[in-house]
Amino acid sequence: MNCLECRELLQQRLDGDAALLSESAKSHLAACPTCRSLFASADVLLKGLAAKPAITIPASLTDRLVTFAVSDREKRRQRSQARWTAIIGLAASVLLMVVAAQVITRPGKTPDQAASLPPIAQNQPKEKETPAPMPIAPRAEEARQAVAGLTERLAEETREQARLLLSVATPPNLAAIDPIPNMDFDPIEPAAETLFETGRQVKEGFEPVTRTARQAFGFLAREFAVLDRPQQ
Amino acid sequence: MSADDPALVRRCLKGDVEAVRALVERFQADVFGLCIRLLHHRQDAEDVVQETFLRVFRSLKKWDAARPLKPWIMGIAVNRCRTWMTQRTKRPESVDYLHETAEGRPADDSGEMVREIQDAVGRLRAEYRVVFVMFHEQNMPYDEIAQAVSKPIGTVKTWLHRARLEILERLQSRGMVPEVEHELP
Repeated sequence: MNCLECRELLQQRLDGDAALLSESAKSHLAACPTCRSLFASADVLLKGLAAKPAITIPASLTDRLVTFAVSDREKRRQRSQARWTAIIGLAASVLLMVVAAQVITRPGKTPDQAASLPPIAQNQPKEKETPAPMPIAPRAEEARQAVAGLTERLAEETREQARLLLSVATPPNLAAIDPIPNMDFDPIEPAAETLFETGRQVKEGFEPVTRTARQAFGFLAREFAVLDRPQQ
Repeated sequence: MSADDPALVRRCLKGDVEAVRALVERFQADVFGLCIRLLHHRQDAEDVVQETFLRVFRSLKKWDAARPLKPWIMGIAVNRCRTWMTQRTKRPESVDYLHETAEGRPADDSGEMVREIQDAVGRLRAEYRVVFVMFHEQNMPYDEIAQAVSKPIGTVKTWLHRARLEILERLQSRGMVPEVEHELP
């Protein structure tokens, strides 16, 4: 027997196999102090484990454990119940909302109207209605007029603003006010001049825009008119 | 496996308080013994036992009735003990109360030997300590230990053998082993 086999024998001994040692084991132990010491230690260990006192369970442990387990179960049951209540409530709310949405969005037909409708030809294939194509030229003309109208309106608003400013700057009853003594010039005049000039410049500034827009849409309208001609 | 374990579990799942009590009484000694031997502290052991049974009852539905109940419960206890030990090592006050003796003192002069063994067991790696305590102090067979720690039996045997050798070497180094000149039986 070698040391490895002797260690295996030691483990079997500690496993509880208290068989007597074979002659070969005894001779190895007699010759090997390391293995002999290990066997002696194993005996000490087994004696020590046997000498360990028994463990006493606290008297109230069982009651505490049972009470704790039962109360925990009850708490969990209540939590689960509350969770299911919330889930069911939420689901009912969603369902109600869906039904309400369907009722609201459905096209209104009274039962009388529904009865007066012609019977649906269920088995006949429904013909697909395709809208007739609209010629391009009228659409372009409409667009041109719309843009021109918008531009004209913008220019008109600007002119109106300028007129308003001018009227404020030169009120009609300004002449009725007594002139300030020793003043040989009109204090409003420079401001009125500036505003008048501003209005004029705004009008002139918008004029190219409106003109260019008119020209562009006129050109487009002519081009589309060519496209709309029937092909020969 | 006890023959009426599945029936007991079914009654527990139905909310039978007497069944809960019966289950606690059936396994509390094993669970408490394991906890106190792994943690070496009575109050900690009681807390862990409480946590263990709480988890047992919460997850009783998941128990496979084809398997024995005891290793399943012991496995939960082992996990709770290991978690507790991990948390305890992070607490600075743990150093003192680790020396608290969980068990009563032996009447004879074997007290020193018991303390040395306990100290040697406490120095083992956690998994070695678990299998050593389960085998030598809880008297659990290899297959139940393997189920409790969710490892193959071969792994459990390897861990246990290494644990034993470490403890034997520790006992030798501490002078607890007399010089043997005569033949062993």
